[in-house]
Amino acid sequence: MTAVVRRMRTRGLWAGLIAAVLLLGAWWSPSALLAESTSPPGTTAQTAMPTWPEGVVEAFRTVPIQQDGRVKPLSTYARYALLEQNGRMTYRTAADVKRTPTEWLLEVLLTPEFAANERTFQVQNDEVLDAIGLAHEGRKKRDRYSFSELFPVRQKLLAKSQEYTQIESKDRTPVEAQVVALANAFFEFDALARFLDPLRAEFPIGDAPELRAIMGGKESVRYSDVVRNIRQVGELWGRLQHERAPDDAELAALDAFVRDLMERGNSPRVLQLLPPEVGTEDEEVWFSIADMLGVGMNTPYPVERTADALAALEGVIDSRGDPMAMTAHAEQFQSILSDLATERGENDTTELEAAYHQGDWFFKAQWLFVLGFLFAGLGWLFPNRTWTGVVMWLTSASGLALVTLGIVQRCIIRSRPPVSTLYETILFITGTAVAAALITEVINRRRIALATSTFLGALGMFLAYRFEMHEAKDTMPNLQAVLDTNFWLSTHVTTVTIGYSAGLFASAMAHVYLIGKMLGGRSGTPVPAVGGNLRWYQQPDMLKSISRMTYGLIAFCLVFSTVGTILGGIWANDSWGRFWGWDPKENGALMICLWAAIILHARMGGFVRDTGIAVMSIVGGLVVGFSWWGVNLLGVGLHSYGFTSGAAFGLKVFYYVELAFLAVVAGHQLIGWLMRRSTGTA
Amino acid sequence: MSASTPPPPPSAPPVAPPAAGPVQTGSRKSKSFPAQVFDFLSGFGFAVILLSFLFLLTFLGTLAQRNQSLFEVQREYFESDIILWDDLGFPIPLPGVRLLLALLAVNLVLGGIIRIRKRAATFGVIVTHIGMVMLLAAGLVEYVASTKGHMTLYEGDSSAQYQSYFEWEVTVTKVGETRRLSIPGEQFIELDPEGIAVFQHATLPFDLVFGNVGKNTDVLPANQHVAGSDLAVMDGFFLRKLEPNIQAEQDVAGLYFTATAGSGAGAEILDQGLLWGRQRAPHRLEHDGAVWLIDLHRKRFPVPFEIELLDFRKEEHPGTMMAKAFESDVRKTDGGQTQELTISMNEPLRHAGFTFFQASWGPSDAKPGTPLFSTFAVVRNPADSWPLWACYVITFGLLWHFCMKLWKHIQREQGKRERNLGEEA
Repeated sequence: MTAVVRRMRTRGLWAGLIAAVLLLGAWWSPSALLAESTSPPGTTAQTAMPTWPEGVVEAFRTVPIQQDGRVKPLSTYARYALLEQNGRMTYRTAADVKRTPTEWLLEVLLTPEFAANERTFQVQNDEVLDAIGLAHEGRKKRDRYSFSELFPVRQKLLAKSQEYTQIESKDRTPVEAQVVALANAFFEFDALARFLDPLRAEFPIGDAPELRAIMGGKESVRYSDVVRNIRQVGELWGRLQHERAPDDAELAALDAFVRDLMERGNSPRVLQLLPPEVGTEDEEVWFSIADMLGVGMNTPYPVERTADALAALEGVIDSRGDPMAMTAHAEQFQSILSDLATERGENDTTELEAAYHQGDWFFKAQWLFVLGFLFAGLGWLFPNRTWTGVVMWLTSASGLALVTLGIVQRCIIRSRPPVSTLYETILFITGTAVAAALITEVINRRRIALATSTFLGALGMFLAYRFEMHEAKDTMPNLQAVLDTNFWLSTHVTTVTIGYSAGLFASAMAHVYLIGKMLGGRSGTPVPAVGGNLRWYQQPDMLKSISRMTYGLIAFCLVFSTVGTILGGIWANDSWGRFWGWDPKENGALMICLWAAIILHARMGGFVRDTGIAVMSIVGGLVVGFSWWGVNLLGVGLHSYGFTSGAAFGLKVFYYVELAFLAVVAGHQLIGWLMRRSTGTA
Repeated sequence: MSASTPPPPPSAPPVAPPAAGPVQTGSRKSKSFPAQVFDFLSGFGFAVILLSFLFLLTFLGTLAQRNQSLFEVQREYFESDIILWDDLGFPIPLPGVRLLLALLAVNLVLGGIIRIRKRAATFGVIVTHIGMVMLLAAGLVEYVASTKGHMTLYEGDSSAQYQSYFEWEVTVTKVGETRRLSIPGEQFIELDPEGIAVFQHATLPFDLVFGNVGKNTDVLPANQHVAGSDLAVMDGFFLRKLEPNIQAEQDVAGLYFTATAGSGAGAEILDQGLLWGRQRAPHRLEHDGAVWLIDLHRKRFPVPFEIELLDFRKEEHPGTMMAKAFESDVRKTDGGQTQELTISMNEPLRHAGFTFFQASWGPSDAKPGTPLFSTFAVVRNPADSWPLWACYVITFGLLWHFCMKLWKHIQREQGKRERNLGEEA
């Protein structure tokens, strides 16, 4: 884009006009939308709910686009645009038909008059509506609204959004943050709804014989025809301006054609859909539909295949009601763009990414783990049944396989090691914790680690799901320059993250130990069986075994946290010029190492025994929580790429629950001690 | 990290694994006082206390960064021996991290290397402790002997010096001479608001008295002066003290000075003025026909070679403002020998004990064609590569020890299962 604009400055009047249109286009959406005379797409006509042939959805799902500096499938864009707007990754139409993100995007692009009346805008709190002056009597406090319903208050929505944007995001109230988010979603919807306007239009030639000849004798042309012949049109216009008198009829007709083109051929540049037909070294940034007039006029780049793609897209628009034709046009559109992207070497992983999102592996894994955990509960009710263990193994191993599959696909798509974002830490920590639990189960075979694996898996996948929902952003963003090193990402980050997972797994095992103890289990000697059927915590040496596992996991945590932290220091020494800078994230990692070392030394020194190790391991889990999420919430330090908002509530809940659990344990210990004292056995 | 002689628990099997267990050196009653001191300093109990305090201080120092600059937090928590922590409204004395690390080193060496039983089972532990000592030694050398700063160059510029991020100095130079007298900032920057510092030197024909020193200040014109509350106006300007920035490198120091002939109450005042860390030109003092330049600026360190910035490049992710990479082509000239090199993120230049890191660039609002500058973080650290070697040693020690333990655990579990199967049969 920058290269194109730069070249425009050196061209003539025609180029100047195109440049003006391009610049206007950048601001088109709000200014045009905010005009009083503007009407929303949905108020002019009601249309029936569209149906999308499977082939059309499939073709659009894998159309490559460039967004936020990387090439991705259109379905990825649709997924997060819908999530931002609707709070969910699917939506149900008023007729209760479930729509995938790609189907929703097709509705907005191709049938905006229908999409504008669908209630897809989530408003989490009606105070948001009060702030923008929209009446909401009879509606729920948290409800969904359509574009058409929000349209009358668009000016206030923009004004409030601009006002709140001045406030630093971490200082905004929830209502202010929601107003900003709603405004973003609203104006993005509008831009999408008008994105294909140039392709819907017919441009009459008028009384301009030479122009008609260029356009193959047509009386009116489509946008793709103009793009295909834009250079000849420009040359004609330039020549006629020199040759003809100002009041010449043909020149006037050509003038009118050009003005019409600039007015109706302009649309918001919300999707960078069109790969330049040149190598990446010439032009890195992809084009939007409205860019093509400027590209055709002001650059030497070929535009023929792009014109073919636009013609195919016009075919999709024109063939509503004819599924076969629509599918054929959609496939042709997808094929041309894919080929162009492939020739630029930018289409290697588009289909894989579309398949990754369609697979939804982590969501499926979550339910497998939940199922496994249910069977863990059944296993405790029916301790001697083999089938509960078999199902737990199957579900946990299958869940782990899906998590691994998802992580591997992400690695291939991003050409990165498993962990380079906060979201990926959740996936990797869950995967390694479940794997560690299954390995522990292989060694220990008491079903405790197996049951814990299902719990950790379900919890981790739920956390990943909630994180993605809350952030509503592409989870595969580009990395900052300092992170652009696969060596350190694969050594330091991976190692320290394994340390996190070991610490959390140890904490989970410590919970099991303390629950067993509170239920009456004893560490060391078996409790006599009641009715000949031993509960899990009554089994010989069970609690002792769990304590040993916990201790082993703390040692595992110490190894990986320490090595990972030192590797981080070495990386920092290469990036920032110092090994250690007492940055919050560094301190968090150090605290895990220190806490694990305290536990091990306290045990070796005889200061704590099994119960003490368990309690300290739970505190260790809190330390991991602080290091993993807590320091990000401080909002200071060099690890700014890990900052997130909104995790504070979840972290508080985690801390309160854990502290409450420890209080219960302390109370139980105290009561036990008092009872032993009163009976003289203390 | 250490070994001790814990009393055995009264009613439970010993919890300390024998592998890293204590050395029995006889009963406590028969021990001499030095032996008891040795036992304490090398004991598990002392290790746990030190590690716990270190944990606490790290936590408190992390939280403190919400409101204080990292520079201040480092000095208060991590580079101190004792701190008075008063976030609860009353002061609580706590050991500083510097003291804790020194004691931890003692505990590591005495307990974790000298006193620990030397046998195959403790081999990994001892190696790990040696690695930890190496790491602490690296930290000590860096703390004592390293210098850090930055060098900012526009394309075509060259330099053989870098300047500190935080430290200040006042330099006094006689015009016509190359020698320069430096007064390090630590001698005046921490002065009380009412405090003064007097500097004398054999080469100076006058004394310099510094007062009203501010770590972070602004200079305002006299027309904004409020009599009675603001500091004195000098040459049409006055200093106003500001709160320190959270980013301490953004602070700009300032002070008032008086040059006197001789010292004491009757000393003749030769000149008075203010010095500000961002002033464009040094203060000019004329005395006995000589001209002296007095300047307050960030501390400068010489480099024994020259760096010239040939080209700076920044690359952004397509269609975004997000930096994908930035790197600088430089020419290093050392003793007549030149070499052209590239410094980029994660790929520093190391030469003659100095390391140059690609730190930042600017101006941030540069338009196409605007000359860009590149900023290198420059570090001189004799222990630069020690952490890497320590990491190798610690990794080896920890993996050796815990893999051995895991192997024994697996064997034990397998043995148990076989015994259970045998009993069932």
